[in-house]
Amino acid sequence: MPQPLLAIRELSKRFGGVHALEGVALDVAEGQTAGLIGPNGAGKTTLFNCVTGVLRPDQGAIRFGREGGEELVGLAPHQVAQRGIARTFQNIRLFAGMTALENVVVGTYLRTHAGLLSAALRLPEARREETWARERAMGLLARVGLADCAGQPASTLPFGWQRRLEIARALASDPSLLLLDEPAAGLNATEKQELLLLLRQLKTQGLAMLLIEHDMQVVMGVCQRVVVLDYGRVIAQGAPGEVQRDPRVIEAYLGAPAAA
Amino acid sequence: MSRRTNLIWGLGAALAFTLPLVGVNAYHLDVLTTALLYAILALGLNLIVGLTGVLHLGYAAFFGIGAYTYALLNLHAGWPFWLGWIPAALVAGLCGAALGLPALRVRGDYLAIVTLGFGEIARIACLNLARWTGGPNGLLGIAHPALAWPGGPRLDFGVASAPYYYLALLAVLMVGGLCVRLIRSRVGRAWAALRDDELAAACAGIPVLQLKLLAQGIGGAIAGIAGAIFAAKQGTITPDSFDFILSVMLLAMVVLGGLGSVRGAIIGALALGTLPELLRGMEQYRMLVFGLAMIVMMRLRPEGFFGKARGLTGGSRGP
Ligand SMILES: Nc1ncnc2c1ncn2[C@@H]1O[C@H](COP(=O)(O)OP(=O)(O)O)[C@@H](O)[C@H]1O
Ligand SMILES: [Mg+2]
Repeated sequence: MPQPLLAIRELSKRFGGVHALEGVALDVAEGQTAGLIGPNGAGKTTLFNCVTGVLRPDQGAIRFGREGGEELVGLAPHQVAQRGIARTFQNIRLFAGMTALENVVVGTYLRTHAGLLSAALRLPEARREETWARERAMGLLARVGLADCAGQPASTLPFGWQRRLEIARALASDPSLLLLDEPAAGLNATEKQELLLLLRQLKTQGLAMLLIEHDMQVVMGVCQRVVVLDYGRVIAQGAPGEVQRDPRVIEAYLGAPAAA
Repeated sequence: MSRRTNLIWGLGAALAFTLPLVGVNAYHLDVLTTALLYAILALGLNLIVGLTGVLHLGYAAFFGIGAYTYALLNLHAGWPFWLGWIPAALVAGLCGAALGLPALRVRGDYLAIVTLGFGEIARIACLNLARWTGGPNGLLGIAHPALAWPGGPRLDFGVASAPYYYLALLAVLMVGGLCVRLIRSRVGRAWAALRDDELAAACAGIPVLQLKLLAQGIGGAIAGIAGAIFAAKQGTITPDSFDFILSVMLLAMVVLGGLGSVRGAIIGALALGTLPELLRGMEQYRMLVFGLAMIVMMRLRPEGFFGKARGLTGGSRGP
């Protein structure tokens, strides 16, 4: 296996009596698309929250980057983002007061530098940078098929479009790892196909992704490797086809019929 | 901003510049100057409340800090106003950022206590540090500004009204322009993002605490500038010019105009700053009418005249 870009070891997180994560180990290699599946409440979103600094794990190590990487535990969310990890949210979290375009422009924050002084004096660099950020954001909107609603308030977009807008915002920071939390949830069949196409494109470009998803068609269609969580533990991992036939995985899903 | 709004602002500013020339009397000019100083303060407070969500109940203290900074530099070191306003802004700005740290850690009632407490402590400290601040008698004999051309004419502001009116007007235009530019910049967009959804903003790489402290610092510095102008105009300052009532009035102006809106802050300040004079005939009912107007406003249009609909309660969800 190639060198891991993200290496999680012994990761544990409790909420009161609930063990949301218990001794989880997980690797994502450079350029790899890994799937993270498991019934509802298995701890998938909690894992994303620990990686991105939103939650502090009780135990464990999360290393990210080339040549052994850097420890992420203890960093604030914006510091994790600076290291090159972007994410989307299971319950979409757009900037509701802004247009679609502005949402994506905010995503370029880490790729731009204008400070207060250049803004106050409206220096040419700041204006050039602003134009650059808008063009980049327009390009990303076009990529996710939202070029026509650039000026619309984000909160008025249909649900499936909001999901795509979130992906565009995440891509705007030019991350080296993208964490997607159930991007296909609530999408219709056509939208799922479009999403699959987009994810494959990103994969071809060499972007590493970790994908939480219930829709096995999407998982099978893009993931090279799948890790299965149940009650906070890794119960299986491997190629998508193998994992799907694994009796422990089948049992975990049958034991929790609420999960699709 | 569209062409039309630019035109309206241009006309408004031009009209404001001609007022002293068309024979508005000194008393009314003084009232307007005070309202313009309120406008500067409202612009600064708007950055703090509108951008970081800290409902500041002690903002008048920064105004006082700016006034005393300029006054002390002028009295002890002979600094002229044209230089003295800069350290006044810096000191008030540092205090703003320093108070931001505890203020951003608490919410609701505690936040009210921290900011209100700060305002009162600053005022009481000022009363008691008599050796430096002159205590309740304040500081006297602060130099009025003067404009002089080398070898040419000299304009002493003295106790005239028009020069201060122009000075305050210029300051409102510059501070207002600065606020607009900041809000529309990369940093301004980040402020708006963290007001909409702090967690999503942080995950997009925006350093939340740092940007909030920055807004608090700039807000404090703007009050410091207003304070220096005030001290230069009055020539005398006492601690009771910077009390709790002023903080509340300023908050009312910002809320009336619409949180986060630059023109809202200016118009709210001019409206509430001149209202008491318009109601002068009914002296003892002034505060009553004022209070009623605020209540009606909150019922009919809680987001203020120019605010977006989210206002005070809009904001961040948890993870
Ligand atoms: N912030 C939180 N506070 C308390 N319990 C939580 C919190 N977040 C998640 N949990 C609990 O942790 C477990 C795992 O949740 P989650 O990671 O959201 O699961 P998944 O994303 O796999 O559906 C669940 O039992 C959930 O109720
Ligand atoms: Mg989840």
